Order: sequence, then structure tokens, then C-alpha cells
Amino acid sequence: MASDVHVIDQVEADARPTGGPVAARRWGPTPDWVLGVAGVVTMFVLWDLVVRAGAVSVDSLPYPADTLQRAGELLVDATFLTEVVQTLWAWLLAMLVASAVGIPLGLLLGYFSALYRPSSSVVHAGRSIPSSAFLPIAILMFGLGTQMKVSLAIYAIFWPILLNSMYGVRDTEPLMLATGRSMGWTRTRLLTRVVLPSAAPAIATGLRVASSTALIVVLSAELLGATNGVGTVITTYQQAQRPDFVYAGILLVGLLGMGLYYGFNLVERLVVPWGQAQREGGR
Amino acid sequence: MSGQALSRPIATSALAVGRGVRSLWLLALLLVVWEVAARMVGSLFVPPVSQIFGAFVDTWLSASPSSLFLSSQFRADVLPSLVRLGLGYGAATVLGVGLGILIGVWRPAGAFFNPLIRLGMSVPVTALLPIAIVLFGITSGMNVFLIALGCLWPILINTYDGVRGIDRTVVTAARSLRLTRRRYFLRVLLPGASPAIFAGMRISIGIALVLMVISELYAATAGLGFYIVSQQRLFQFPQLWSAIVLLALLGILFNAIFALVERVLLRWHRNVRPDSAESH
Repeated sequence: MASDVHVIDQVEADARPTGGPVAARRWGPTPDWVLGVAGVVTMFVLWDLVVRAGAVSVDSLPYPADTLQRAGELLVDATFLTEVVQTLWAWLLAMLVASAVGIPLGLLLGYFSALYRPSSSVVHAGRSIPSSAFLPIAILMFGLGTQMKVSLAIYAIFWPILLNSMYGVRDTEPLMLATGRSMGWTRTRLLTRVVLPSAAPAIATGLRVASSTALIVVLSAELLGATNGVGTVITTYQQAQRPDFVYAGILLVGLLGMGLYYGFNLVERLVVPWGQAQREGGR
Repeated sequence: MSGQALSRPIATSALAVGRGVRSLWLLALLLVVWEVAARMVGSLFVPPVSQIFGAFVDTWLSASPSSLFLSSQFRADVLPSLVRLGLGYGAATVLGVGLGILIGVWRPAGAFFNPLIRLGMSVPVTALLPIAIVLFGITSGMNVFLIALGCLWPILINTYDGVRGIDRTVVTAARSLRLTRRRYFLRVLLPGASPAIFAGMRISIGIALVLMVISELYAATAGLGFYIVSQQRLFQFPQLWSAIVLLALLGILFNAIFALVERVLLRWHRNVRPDSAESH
């Protein structure tokens, strides 16, 4: 990515009349992180000004300083942290169950071409149903606890995991398979040496998509009824008319999501380094 | 001669039927298993498929052609949902593509907004439900706001990636040809970024459906989510499931429309896949 930037800059510089590039070089381009920090600061200043000017009442949008302070208080609040753990636990359970079932099944369905087509129409029908539509039924069937959240999340993320595993196997280079076969490799050897490595990046993509979806679904279930988790803390503060805590909670939830996202990217880069090109291109 | 001419359409339709059977038998089998299992277990919450489809016909369809064979229930609950979906999704598309092109073309803007966008897309949109209720009250505006916000990020990020991913040789060639800004925008930038833009829009339509239902479950006075909650309170589970079936059909319909548009508009692009993997 970074190299692209420089080349494009170079092109722009070359196209400019003489003088331009020299001026640019004297100051040097502002580093990206400075601009990023400026962006965050600008947002907080604008936020503060909007509230100060009275454009939005303090009841619906608290001061940023207050929100940050509340976020700090929540971070050392034992009850809040317990609820965060509850949310993460539900997230982890859903991820484990969905991938334990979805990945092997996807490999199987992708490998046998007679099964590929009929199962992909099932997958497309299943994933067309928004998981949230099952919430009222799930509450009746599983109650308001962790089981309900986990089952909803599993439904939501099972499809992307399954589908990506199917695609991954399906997209194995036929020439590589043929080469393996001509060398007299057994089925197991073909599977572990050719099919799995080439499917791994697609599976990783599926897991990455699933990880953020699972968090969203778990949180939604918590906001709409569950009795434990971060979502319930947010609704409690909302009912108590404490918008500063509500915003602080949302900010922390956002940071949690960001942490999961970057954590996943890091693990993905370590585990399937050869998936890099695909990741950059396949957004 | 005539026999041959006759047999060809028969043969092609037989082929089409064969293809349909080959790709749908598993779905049909699973529905039959569902039917049998539901009848044997007799669960109140999961009625047999036949009851669900019966309820579907009763609830959403009507015999009168003047209303396009759609029932009054359809007009009362599905149309408000679709309007919210359309408004939110439309706003997200306009904003997402516009902003995405801006930050993709102008590097400092990209660096400036990058952390904010990362944070914004990490906040699960449903966490904003309590705030949206305070800001908008229980109005359609609340639902539209949530749908728009949820759909904005994938479209924005994909547009950005699409603009940044345009082949450098193409950009250089365009510059050496001294294309005007307008021509560059219309002939190079937009077509180059369009596959990624469409990918983002396709992911977003799934998100839009999820958020439409969630925001209506949370607070609404009409709509499909509202219908589902009210049927749950009445313990009318075939009706509730009929709404879920309707949502599935909407999802399939939107996906089919996207596949069609992509096939027509992006015929030239080599990497277009009929169904994208990164979606909900």
C-alpha cells in the first residue's frame, strides 16, 4: 500500500511544472500518523463545540471530556469488566462451535463437486435470513442467558464460515491437484499438502468476517433482552438517564471491536502469510 | 425435420429442469426433514414447513389483482420496512461512494480520517440503538439512521480500496494522455473502482436487512420486525415464521438483482464472481 502512495505522488510530482516538487521536498510530506491524530483531535473539538453551542442537548450528547472520564471509570469497574468477559465468552463459544462445524463441512462440500451446487443453494437460502429475525424465537426457546446469544451468533456466522471454506477448496488450482496425483500422492497427502494450504486464506477471511459479525449479534441480543453482557450495561445506563456512561460504553465497545479486528489481522498474517495478496485484493 | 425442431426446446427445458433438480434437491430434502421432524416432535416454537407456507399465503398474499396479489398486511408492514431500507441504504451509498472517492483520491484526507473510520466501523451499530432512540424518538428516522450508518462503512471502505487499487500504469497512461479531470473521473476512476464499489454495496444490503429487523424489533410501530415481535407476543408461530420466510425471499431477491446488475455493468471485469464470499 505504502509503495503505491509514493509512486502516485511521484507521478503527480513529475506532472507538475518545475518548482513544485522542490517546494514539496523542502517541507516533506506530513506523516500519516500526524494527520490521523489531527483527525481524532478535530473530532473531539467539534464534538465539544457542538455541545457547547447547544446545538444538541447535553441529555442526548454529553461533553467529550465527561465521556472519556466515564470510560476511564468503566475500565476499572469490576462489574463492567465481568460483563465484558461475559460478552467475549459468548463470542468465543459461537466462534468455536461455528468453525468446528462449518470448516470441516465446508471442506467436504467444496471437495465433492456433486454436493457443491445443491449445498450452495441451501447456504444462499439460509444466509438470506437476517439472524436478528430469529431473536424472538430464540428468546422463547433458550431463555435470556448465554445460550440464546450464542445460538443466534452461531446462526449468523455459520454461513460465511461454511461458504468461504467451500470456496477455498473449490478454488484450488486444478494443475496443482493434477501434479500431486501424477506423483502418486494419496488422498490424505493431497488434502493436507495442496487443498488445505490453498483453502486456508479463504477460510481465514471467513473467520475474520465472522468474528465481527458474531460480536454484533451478541451485542444486539444483549441490547434486546439478554440478562448478561456489555449490552445490558449500556441499556441499564440508558434507563438510568446517564448518557455519559452510555457513550463511554459504546466507545469502549468500539475499541473492543477494533481490538478484535486488528488481533484477527495479526493472527491471520502469522498463520497464513501466503494469503496476503488475496487479502489485499479481495476486500 | 419437424421432429428435430420440436425436440430441441423439449431437450433444453428438460436440461433446465435437470439443472434445477441437481441444485435444489438438498434444499427440498432438508425442508422435508424439517416437516417430518417438526410433526414428530410437535414443538410449539418450530411449526412444520407446510403450516409456515400456509400462513405465508394467508398473511402476505391476497387474491385481488388490484393490489398486485399482496395483502393489506403486506402493505401495512412490508412497505414501511422497504421504504426505511431504501432510504437508509440510498443515503449510505451516496455518502459512502462520495467520501470514499474523496479520501481515496486525496491522500492527506485518507490519513486524516483513517483512525475515525476504523473506530466507526468497529462500533457495532446496534450499540447505537439507545442513542438513536434518544436522538430520533420512535420514528422511521431512527430506523433509517441506523441502516444508513451500518451500511456506510463497507461501502466507504470498499470505494476507498477500489480507488486506491486502480492499476498504476492506467493512472500514468491517463496522465500522459493529459485527460481532463472530468474525463479522468468518468473514464478511469469510476470504472476502475466500480467492482469494489459494487462489492461493498452487496455486503451492505445484507447488513441493511439485519439492521432493519433489529431496529424494528427494538422500537417501531409498523414493519416486519414489529410484526415478528407482535406475533411472538400472540404466540402465533406459523405467522412469525412466515415473516422470516418473507425476509429470506427479500434477501434472495436483492442478491439476484445485484448479480444481474454486476453481470451487465461489469461484464468487462475479469474477477467478477457471481456470489461474493464476504457477506453476511
